[in-house]
Amino acid sequence: MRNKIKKLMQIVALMALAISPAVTHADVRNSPKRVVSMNLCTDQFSMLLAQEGQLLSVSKLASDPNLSVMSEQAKSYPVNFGGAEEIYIMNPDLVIAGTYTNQTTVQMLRGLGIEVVQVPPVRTIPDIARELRRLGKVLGTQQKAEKIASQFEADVQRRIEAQPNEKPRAGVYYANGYTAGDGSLVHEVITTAGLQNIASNLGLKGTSKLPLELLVLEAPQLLVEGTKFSDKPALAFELLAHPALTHTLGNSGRVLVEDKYTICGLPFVTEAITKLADQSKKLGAQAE
Amino acid sequence: MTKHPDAPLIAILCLLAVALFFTSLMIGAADLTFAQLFDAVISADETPVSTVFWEIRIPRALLGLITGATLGLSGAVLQGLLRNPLAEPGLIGVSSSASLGAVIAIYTGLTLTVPFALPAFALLGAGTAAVLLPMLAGGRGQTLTLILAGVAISSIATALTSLALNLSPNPFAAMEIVFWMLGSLNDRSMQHLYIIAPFILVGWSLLFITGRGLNALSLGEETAHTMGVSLPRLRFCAIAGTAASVGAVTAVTGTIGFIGLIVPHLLRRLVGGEPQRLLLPSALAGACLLTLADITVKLFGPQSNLKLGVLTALVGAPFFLWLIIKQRRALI
Repeated sequence: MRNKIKKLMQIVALMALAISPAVTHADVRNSPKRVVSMNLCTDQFSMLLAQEGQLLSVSKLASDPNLSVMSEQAKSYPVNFGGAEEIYIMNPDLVIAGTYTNQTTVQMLRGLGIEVVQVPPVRTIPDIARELRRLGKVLGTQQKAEKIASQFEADVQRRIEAQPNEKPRAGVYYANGYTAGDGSLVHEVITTAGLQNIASNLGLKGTSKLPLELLVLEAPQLLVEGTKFSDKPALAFELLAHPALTHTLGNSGRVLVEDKYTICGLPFVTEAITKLADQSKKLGAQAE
Repeated sequence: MTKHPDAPLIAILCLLAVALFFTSLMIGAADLTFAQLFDAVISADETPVSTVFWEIRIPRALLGLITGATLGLSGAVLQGLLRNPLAEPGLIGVSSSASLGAVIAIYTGLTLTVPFALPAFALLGAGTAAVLLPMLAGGRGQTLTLILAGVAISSIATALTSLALNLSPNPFAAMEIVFWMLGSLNDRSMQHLYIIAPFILVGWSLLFITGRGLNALSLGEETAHTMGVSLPRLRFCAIAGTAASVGAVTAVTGTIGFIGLIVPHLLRRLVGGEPQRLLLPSALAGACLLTLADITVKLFGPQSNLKLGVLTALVGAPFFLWLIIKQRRALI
């Protein structure tokens, strides 16, 4: 019953907001009441940080379990497909988008008088905490943001302190022979977990192609793989089963880090770090 | 047995093939010196270098030779059978139909449970095209109808391949259209070779025994008949042989065009118009040409992601034009 009343009051409040644009505008400065997110990464930031009822809609991708860690939560929000028209009709007072979100849509929304905050892709671990705090300020949920951010920083710090002296060599190998080198979030995850990234040793930057020959010559002790879609075959993944690779790694040297943990720089990267650190510890134990 | 009239040519082509094979082994994404490779090969220890050599470079170089030989040989046989200088597995749609068969086998997940489904489906695709083609083109091997029928079969097969890949639920499948249309030897393994080997051997045997029949056929169907050549049997050998061998190589390398077209023409100037004498040199020269093309791809480097078919088309298409112009002159 109390919930129903609360909801009713919310609706009344929203209607009041809709009728009086002057009030809405004044409130934007403090905290937005009607927020729409249109990018996979900002969707998850917003779901983590928003107050109840503040977030109106998230993008379609947010509910894809392969891409989004928060796919279950995302199902309780209405979905948007990133079009200016559908978003305008939701009457938001704040839109959160990525810096690479369709620029024409962003310009259109701004032209219509809607405030759009753009979030750059997060590629380092310190940036995750920074972005959490910044968006907390934008959404008016500083305390919540501070709590999540400091918890995250403490988790990462613990991982860094637990790093072994002898760091095992790890290679990241995705579909079609792509790897993640310096300047990528995956690289940060690997090094934080106490591993050496061979792509970085080879001087590769960002997401780039790593020929199988070079990977084999580096003789990685651990191969980090992404989501494999193993029930839906494609040649892109055949490379991961190449005999040369199987030969180099033996049976124990593969670990799966699902793409959803590393696509976006979110506090959930600690899951990936933990998984890799455990695997690294196992390698160390085998060596002794 | 009398000395083969083309013995010097065959010897030269063999030497060239061996030389190109070893050159191909020397070149790869990793900068390995001859000494490093040699040490890894002669020593019994397993090192990363020996893994690179045996499991990445050897299969690729072998596959290059086999694919080139198959395309050259089948081109020579098809040109003899259809008595048409433009017959070639790529141009007449046999390769793209083989691709379609392979795509269906791979992306439905069938090859995960039955590895032999891959060459078998490719053979089925190639065979369908090879049987349909003469029916669509009509008898007497008229160039125009043959090419038109080939273009039609080829477009249908390519369209269905794209459709199948677009329908695949795997997000990477759609990007692989390029591989199936242009072909590549990149990172194929010994497993691929083992799976297709039986099909290749059967295919080559069938193709090589067509020689005498093709010679007789070059004098006309009736003459061939009076010489005791069974035309249905000849057609079966040529078509089944092409389907098996081209189907098998296409299943692991994708569609590689123009090799089968150019090679017999280049050699006809050296060995003359007799189809039988053309077969072995065509196979050898095809192996050389494809290995050369693959070496060039490797020299461009792995980041370029250049496909083999791009190179063969760059060389093949101008040659094709030249052939058309020459034919037009002959008609005038």
